[in-house]
Amino acid sequence: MNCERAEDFLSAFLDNALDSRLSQQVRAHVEDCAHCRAILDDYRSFDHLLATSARIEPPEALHARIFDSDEYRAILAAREAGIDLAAEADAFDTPNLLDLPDDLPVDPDELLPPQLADLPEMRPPMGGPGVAAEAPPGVSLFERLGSSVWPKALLPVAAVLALTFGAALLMKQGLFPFSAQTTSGVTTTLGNPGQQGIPLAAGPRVVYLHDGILWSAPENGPGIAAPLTASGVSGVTVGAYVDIRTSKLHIVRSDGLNDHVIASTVAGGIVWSPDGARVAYLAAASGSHVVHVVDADGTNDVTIGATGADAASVAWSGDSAWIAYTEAHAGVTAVWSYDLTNNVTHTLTPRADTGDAQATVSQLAWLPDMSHPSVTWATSGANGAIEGVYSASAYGGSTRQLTPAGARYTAAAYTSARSGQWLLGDGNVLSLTTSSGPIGAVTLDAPASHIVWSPSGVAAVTYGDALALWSPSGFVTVDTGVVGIAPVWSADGLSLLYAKADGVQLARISASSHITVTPVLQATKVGVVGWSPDAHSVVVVTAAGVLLIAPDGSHAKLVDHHTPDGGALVWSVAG
Amino acid sequence: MNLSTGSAIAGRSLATQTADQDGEAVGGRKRPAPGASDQPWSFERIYDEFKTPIYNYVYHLVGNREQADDLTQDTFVKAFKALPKMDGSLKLSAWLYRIATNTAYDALRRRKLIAWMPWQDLDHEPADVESADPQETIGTSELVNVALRRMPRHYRAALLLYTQDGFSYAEIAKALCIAESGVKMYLSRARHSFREHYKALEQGGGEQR
Repeated sequence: MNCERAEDFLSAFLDNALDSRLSQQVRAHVEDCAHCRAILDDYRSFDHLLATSARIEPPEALHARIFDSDEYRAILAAREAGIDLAAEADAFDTPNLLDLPDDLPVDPDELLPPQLADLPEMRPPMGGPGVAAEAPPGVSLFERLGSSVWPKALLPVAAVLALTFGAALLMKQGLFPFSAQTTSGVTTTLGNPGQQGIPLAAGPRVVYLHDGILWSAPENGPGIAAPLTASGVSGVTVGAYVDIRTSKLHIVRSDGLNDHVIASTVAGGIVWSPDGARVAYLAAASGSHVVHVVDADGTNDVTIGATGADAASVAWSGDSAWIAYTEAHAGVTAVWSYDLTNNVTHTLTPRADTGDAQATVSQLAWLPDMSHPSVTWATSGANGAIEGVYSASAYGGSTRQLTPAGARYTAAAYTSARSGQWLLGDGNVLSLTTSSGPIGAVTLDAPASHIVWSPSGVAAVTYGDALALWSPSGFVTVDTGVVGIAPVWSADGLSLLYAKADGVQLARISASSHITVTPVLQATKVGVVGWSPDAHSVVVVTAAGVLLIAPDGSHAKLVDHHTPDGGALVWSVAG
Repeated sequence: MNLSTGSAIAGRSLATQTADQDGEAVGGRKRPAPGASDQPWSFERIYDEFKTPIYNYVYHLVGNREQADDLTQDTFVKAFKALPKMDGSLKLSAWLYRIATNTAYDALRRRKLIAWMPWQDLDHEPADVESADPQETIGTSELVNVALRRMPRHYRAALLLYTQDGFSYAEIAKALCIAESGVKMYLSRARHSFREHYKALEQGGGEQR
């Protein structure tokens, strides 16, 4: 008997469950084979370990829940009266365990999602070239949204590179259905394929970058999308974009009015303050970058930080009273905080030790407790691996390392939910760390590729072809067969859109942390998905164009035939 | 590994106290069957005797205490309803575990419920990020729980019934509604799977470094 065969019988051998001949063969093998003997010893030890492991007691209250219940009284009454309740009990007619899926239950009653075939016939939209005219045959949407389209989008003919929408007017109008906190620092960048954008304003229009310019499409399309110009759009919201022909920052309303041009030469890094009152951006200055903050009306453009140093990664505090940014001077990076109330800067050390002067800082963010303003960030070494996450008081002083010394990570994502948490990926291991230290870990079958926090602090994690959620309740794999694009949370943090090879799916978390998964759209090519902020509509980009879909999959509407260049979809709001 | 943990086993049922570890037949461990005897039973007595083992079993199946509360309650209520008509060929324990198993899985399936797998909770440990020994931070019983959670559910059920609840092969077959011949395979795969996961955890795989 060889090991492979013997191993199959070790468990039954241990239980005296083999016939005597087979049992003797296994016994003979085990006597000769240290490998199998070790396994058998382990099985014995583990049986004992399981048999003697501590039991948990049910809560005391469970007794009352059963014996004080109306249901129990009814059982007693029925027993007195000799009535048989067993017919109601469905204990015996449930299926065999083998038939049950381990993860994802399927409800046969659920509605079939809409199919692309149900959509109106494609027509070229007015006011712009249609998809059919410009889509080379045989080129998939993914290719078009991916590498092939970007060089084109980045040509100088593209008027708009980056667009961020602020919330100032919307909040003044009371149109924001969610708190300012959930929109803090949201930067929706059109023109950046990797950007995980979150739409900012609910409304009847979808704004997107197509063929290098911004388009605004009302939901009663298709065919009436119009370029974002003064005459074309009636929706009103505030946006900021960079015209890459002039490198000037523009702050506009989505109807094109009040286009403020900021004088500085903008190099990117546009971030709105959470209250929507100001915009921070990076300006190019003699070969390096410097942070500016300008009011939403285009006035009060102030320079923060030293000229000559190279600034990057700006982050607003939740109360819009501070910014943090990094600045490299003579090759050494420091983290800076700036108190906008008192116009004071403080310098923070990027690492707890000073071991690596080449360390770069990423994911700069603020801890949510502004009674003691603190900044947190990740640092990467020269090889790109994340060497740790840190926090420090915004007033300077000592920097604390939140991760074990010597640990290295391939992915890191911060959320300001629940006092601030970092989810860190190290190969197949995901771990959660707060400013008070590590609090949990889980092992995945594959390294995490996307980590996307919801506003309420649930992380969507894609690994391999699987999608999982991470929350205070634990970790759960929701679906497999998930394709490349990052999942997108609704603004209320309760619903998650993600793409599979055959369409768009919706995972919804109930108040009691239960998850349901429903198909939203059947389509073979899904490029970008997004939410309206009120979570009542989903916008999906497919080969057919831009679609508006009810999250329950009950209906779908083609907004326009355009295929956006990529990046996020932005909603504007009716004026 | 520390095998001396949990020597006082809370809630080990009367039924298993007399379990004969060297039973003469296949998995041949004997136990008295309270419900099958002539002894008068009461709902309260059944609850008191089985609440802890059933609760632990359900907890390990769903991996969530809140849900274990609900499903333990459902299990006993269903059992009390059906008890007067109980299948005489089944022992009370096997019958209760069958209800518990089916209740847990049926609930998960019907409500389209996906159970959260609790991640290893290190909250109770001081936030000393320099101490990285998983043995110190987690402890053996936590390793057992995590290893169980990572196993396929149906193998987990069989392993729990055999080791923690002292079931024979025949009783496991009845509780899980599978053929008796399948139990051998279930337990073999269960032990293999548990060993793999436990060893990986012991070596720090999957836990805080």
